Amino acid sequence: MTDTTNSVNTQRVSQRLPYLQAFVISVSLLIIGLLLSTTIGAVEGINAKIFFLSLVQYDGSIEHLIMRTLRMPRAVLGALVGANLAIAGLLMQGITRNPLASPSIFGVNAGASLFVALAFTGVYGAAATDASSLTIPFVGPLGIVPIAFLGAAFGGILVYFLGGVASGRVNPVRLVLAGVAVSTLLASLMKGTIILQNDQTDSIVFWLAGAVDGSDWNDVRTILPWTMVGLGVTVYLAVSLNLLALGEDVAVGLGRNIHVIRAVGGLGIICVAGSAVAVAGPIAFVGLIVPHICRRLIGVDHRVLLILAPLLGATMMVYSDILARFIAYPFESPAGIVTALVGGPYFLYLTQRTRID
Amino acid sequence: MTAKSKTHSSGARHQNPWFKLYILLAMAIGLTLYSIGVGAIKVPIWETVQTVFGVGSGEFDYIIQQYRMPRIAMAWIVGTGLAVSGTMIQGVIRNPLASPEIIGITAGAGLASAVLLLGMPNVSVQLLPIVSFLGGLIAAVLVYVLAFKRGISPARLALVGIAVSAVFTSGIDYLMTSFPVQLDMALIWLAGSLWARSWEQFMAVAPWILIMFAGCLLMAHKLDVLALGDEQAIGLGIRVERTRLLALAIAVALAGASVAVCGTIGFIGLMAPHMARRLVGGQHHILLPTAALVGTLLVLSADTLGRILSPPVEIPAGIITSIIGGPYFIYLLYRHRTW
Repeated sequence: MTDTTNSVNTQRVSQRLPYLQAFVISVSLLIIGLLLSTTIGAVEGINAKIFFLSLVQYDGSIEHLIMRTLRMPRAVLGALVGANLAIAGLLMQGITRNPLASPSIFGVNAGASLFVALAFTGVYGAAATDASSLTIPFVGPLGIVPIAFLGAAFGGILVYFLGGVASGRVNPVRLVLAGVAVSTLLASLMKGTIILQNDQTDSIVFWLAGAVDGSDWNDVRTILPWTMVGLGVTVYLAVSLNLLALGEDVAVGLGRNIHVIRAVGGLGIICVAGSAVAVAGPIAFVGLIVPHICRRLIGVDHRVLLILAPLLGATMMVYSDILARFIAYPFESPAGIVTALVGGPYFLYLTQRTRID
Repeated sequence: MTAKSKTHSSGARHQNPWFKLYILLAMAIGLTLYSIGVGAIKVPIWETVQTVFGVGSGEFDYIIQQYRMPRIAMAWIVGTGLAVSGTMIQGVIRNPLASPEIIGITAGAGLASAVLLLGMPNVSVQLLPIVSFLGGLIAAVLVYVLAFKRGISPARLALVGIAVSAVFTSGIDYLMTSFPVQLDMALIWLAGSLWARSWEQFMAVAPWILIMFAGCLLMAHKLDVLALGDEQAIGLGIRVERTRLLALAIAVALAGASVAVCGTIGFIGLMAPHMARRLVGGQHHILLPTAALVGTLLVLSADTLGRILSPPVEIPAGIITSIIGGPYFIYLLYRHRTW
């Protein structure tokens, strides 16, 4: 598949966007998205003017309060979650050289959600009886995140070995099948745990579908350091991933240590994907399709992809969150629904392009 | 259950397969009686038998006849439907990993049923199997067309099936959050549960599944010949493409009807045929009834377990079958690791 991508991209080299243009477009899309996200909602009369005024001269009025404590953290959190997922997908696809690798397919989302659910019902059993603690799946500044990391690692490692990635074979289908089986298993365990412990189906369905509404600056503070870690890992691995794309032998021959790449990359993936699940629930398909779109736009150089992928991931997430508000207006819907509605067909399209056997 | 069938197959491979079938039947009937008795309110076994035949003390009449019997009858019907559907699909496609959920039928039928249940709650329940069948059919045709590239490779079929399922599942999620009022019901239905099934729903699907099952048994001989390979089958006078399409259509109808009433009870269509094949071999005239009984046993045990784990809270049967089925699928993946 990497070969096909390469050949496709060399054919299209003339149509590809210049780097600068791609960045300018995605940054402006993101800024417009953030503006729209903070001004569209059930409360009328909040516009771009209030957005700027609340930043520069905060007057404590209700509009400014809504802007500063509800709309802004939500938009920023959405952007960070999207960026995290895109980084996770980019690293996974680079390390496994498998075009279908992504947090949801790799069982990372399901593993993290299972452990978070277990934490709510078991370790934090007392907190789970409090209704508010389930609507915001977040216990303290670091409370749930390490648990999500453990879960992400658990799911990811299971699929890694069962999917035959560890033995060095690149078989996209095997990985997907193992991922689906492991995810189904972990998700069923999670649902069973939740049903046994309480019956707050509404908030759980919402969280399971992946949503960023009802978030506050604490959530942003929780995820931001891990986004930075993820970016750092990608910067560190960018050249190695470029070499790895040419083949494992090439990378080893040029002095790269495969095991170090896999270990560092794996830790990075766990940080970004785990923290995203901890604050927003399992959001599917962003990590799968954003790296593909980026490669189509600007090619396969990871040094450039590592900037564009988080930007596009953030953009996709922010716009999904905006669209989610209109699905059952004036009620909120989880943003994960929109990413799934867009991502599902794209996944289907990818299976048509992926070479099998 | 898994352990039992394994010891059976390894210990006594040369035993009369019909004997095994009768043992399975006895187990299923025993489990049925036990399952009627347990739950939030326990009924003694003799009282259960008497009440089922209408000569009991009358104390448990309502709970048994109107509450537990329909759901257990439903377990028989749904277990049979899903298991036979899986057997037909695996037999026709000759793909060990094929099953109604992998090739997208379950998700398609689920979406169609969700549209009907959530969007038009006043429509008669009789329509559900038909709508569900159409949904499953659309999904199956879509998967077949998209996976077709100079023949159907098992790997491509599985991959496209998963992708199509993902599309339909996101549609179901969308519907569920757009109609938040019926969310609780939809969630339980979606997880695959026999909770609160009624005789009305049973009557809506039971005839379908029984007729289809009879149709499968009539096709048993042709399916055996098909298993020899296309050339052999043509040589023996079977119209291969027609048989294959007919078998697939029946499989879609069976899975669709099951999903319509109980949601997606996962992995039955995958596990039951494999277990049955290990028990009695690949002759369809015995394989099909055995698979049906294994499927029934799986659904019944999952439902019973879900009820007795921590009453009065019920765990949907689909969650329990997935917890068993996930590892089984991984084991199959490990066994068929050559491709």
